[in-house]
Amino acid sequence: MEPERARAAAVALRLLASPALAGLTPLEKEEQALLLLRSRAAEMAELLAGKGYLPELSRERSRKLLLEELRRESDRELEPLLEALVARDGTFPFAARLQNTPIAGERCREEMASLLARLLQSERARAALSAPLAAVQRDLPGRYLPICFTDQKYVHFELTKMERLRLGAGETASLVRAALLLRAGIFLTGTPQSGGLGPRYASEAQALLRGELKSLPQAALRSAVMSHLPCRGNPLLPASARLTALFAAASRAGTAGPARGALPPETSWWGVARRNAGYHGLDESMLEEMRGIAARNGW
Amino acid sequence: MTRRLPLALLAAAIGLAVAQALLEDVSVLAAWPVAQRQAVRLAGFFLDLYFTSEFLARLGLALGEGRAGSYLGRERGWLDFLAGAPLLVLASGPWAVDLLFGTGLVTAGLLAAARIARALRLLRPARLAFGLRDGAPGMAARHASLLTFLGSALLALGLAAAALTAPLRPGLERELGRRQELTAAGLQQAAARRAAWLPAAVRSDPSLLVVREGRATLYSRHSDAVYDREFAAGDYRYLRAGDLELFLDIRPAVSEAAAQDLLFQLLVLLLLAGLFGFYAPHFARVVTDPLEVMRRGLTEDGFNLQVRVPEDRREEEVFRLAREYNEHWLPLKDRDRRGEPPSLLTPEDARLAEPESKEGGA
Repeated sequence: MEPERARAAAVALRLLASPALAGLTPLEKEEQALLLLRSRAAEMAELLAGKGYLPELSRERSRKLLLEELRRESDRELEPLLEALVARDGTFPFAARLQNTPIAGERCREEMASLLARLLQSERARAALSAPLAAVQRDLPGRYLPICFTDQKYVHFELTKMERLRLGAGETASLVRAALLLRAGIFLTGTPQSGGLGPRYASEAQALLRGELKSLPQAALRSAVMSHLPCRGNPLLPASARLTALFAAASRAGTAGPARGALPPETSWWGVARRNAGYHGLDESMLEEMRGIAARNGW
Repeated sequence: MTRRLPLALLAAAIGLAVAQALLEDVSVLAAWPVAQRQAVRLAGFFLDLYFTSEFLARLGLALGEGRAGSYLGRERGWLDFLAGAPLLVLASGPWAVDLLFGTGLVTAGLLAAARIARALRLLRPARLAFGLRDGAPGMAARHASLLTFLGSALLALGLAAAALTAPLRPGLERELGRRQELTAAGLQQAAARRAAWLPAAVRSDPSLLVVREGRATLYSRHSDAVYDREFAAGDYRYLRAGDLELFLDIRPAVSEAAAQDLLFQLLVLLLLAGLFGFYAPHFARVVTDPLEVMRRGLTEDGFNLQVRVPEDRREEEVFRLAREYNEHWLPLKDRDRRGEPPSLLTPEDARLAEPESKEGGA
């Protein structure tokens, strides 16, 4: 490795290993490093131009080198993580209850892994994958959905009666986790228009994805793509898609540390999000139910 | 330099003083031998001396810096004074001088004044409370220390009033005093038939210890060894009845005063424990913590935790404000987030521990 690249790799490693980023996913750590490079560009350029860093390179070149190394380092961390997540949620052992056609679990896993690998090549898709990946890694569906099933309130009703999913709590959580991992898939088919994703674009994107991911259950793909649609104005939005959007948005909920006199981080997040449900296009009733669960459990 | 001494030293001195005061009362109630009681009281004298010296040193330094008024007023020098000097001058000082030099400074009047001055000991924990406040500035500590002072001052006033009125109120002290005066009057009136009256007086008044006429001792209830071992200054009363001198046992009244003193001291400690163990945390929970959460939410970009609003306090002013903050400000802040949030990282996080700076040295 050339010495400049080695020094850039050392800086990248140092940034990603900062204690300030403890508990974040590799993509979130990368996001924070990129944010630092953008928001304090001058200071970082000065640092990189310093002796012992990259003084012989131009400002632009040193920044580019650091970005490459940051990405390489993140990918190195991401690889085993994604493998583990896909192995857990990418085989859909319960898919027979979602559709009539049989599912090849191993093929599904391979397609999902391939999709994620392709998504990681694109800057935009990496950013879009960050929040859902964090939600999966923090297992928000696995923590909340079993309680929703026990409580049998709005979320349970929407999943079982409206969407007619015949799945248990664990299987539904697995389905939502898979949808979260697939959520950034729409960036394979281009970038959605700036005004947000419309139902027509969603169905086109779903069809395109379906062409690329032939083995995956339709329900998971549909939830993943439709999770980009706002809840308000789309009354037929499946509950699993609404949950996928909800958990993706809540991925950062628990990262703030607790504070005396304040509600726990997740309870706070759901409480604020409930007030902004319309603004963020989330289901207010689901947010309220999640807030109640978080409050009861001190999350 | 003239600021508060380190809090730990003040806490240690006040802790010792409180323990000594409690022990002094317990020693009286448990009728410890004179030598042990005197040792405890001597410790009290040295503590009073310490507090008085500390006050004088601070006052001297403040005078040197031209801010004696500020020290005596705003910096609560008056409390430093009250919690030390009167006790030394009126109570422990004369007693210690008597003990060490046998000067006979402690008179009946001084004993009464000493009982009142001893009530000022109850103010010492308030000094500690103010010290704690100075160490941790904030509304909770400020309120708790102020309430400690007010409570201690009220209890000190109560104890002083109880000590002042004890000889006048129905109770053991007044009854004992009356009986002893009757005994003295009886002995004085029956001067002609003293030999016959004395055994009757001894039987009827068990507090009569010694009757002397000039240099002759007409009666003594105990041997000198017992007096040496069990009676200290303040445990007996001296009365003149004509040419007779009477020494009377007042230990029951002294014990009653010690019990009262102990009760008030325990009340002050209970007050302190209640205020700092319950009230201050409660105050923090319902006032300062919610305010701090709101302050952070208003000033820190990445802080978006809601204030915990107890159901039964929803209508209190602080929590009404907190509800507005939770339900309007935070959602507004969430919606109005313009631009990028600050990174959790700083350029310092990119700084290599050992930069490879040697290779390019020119």
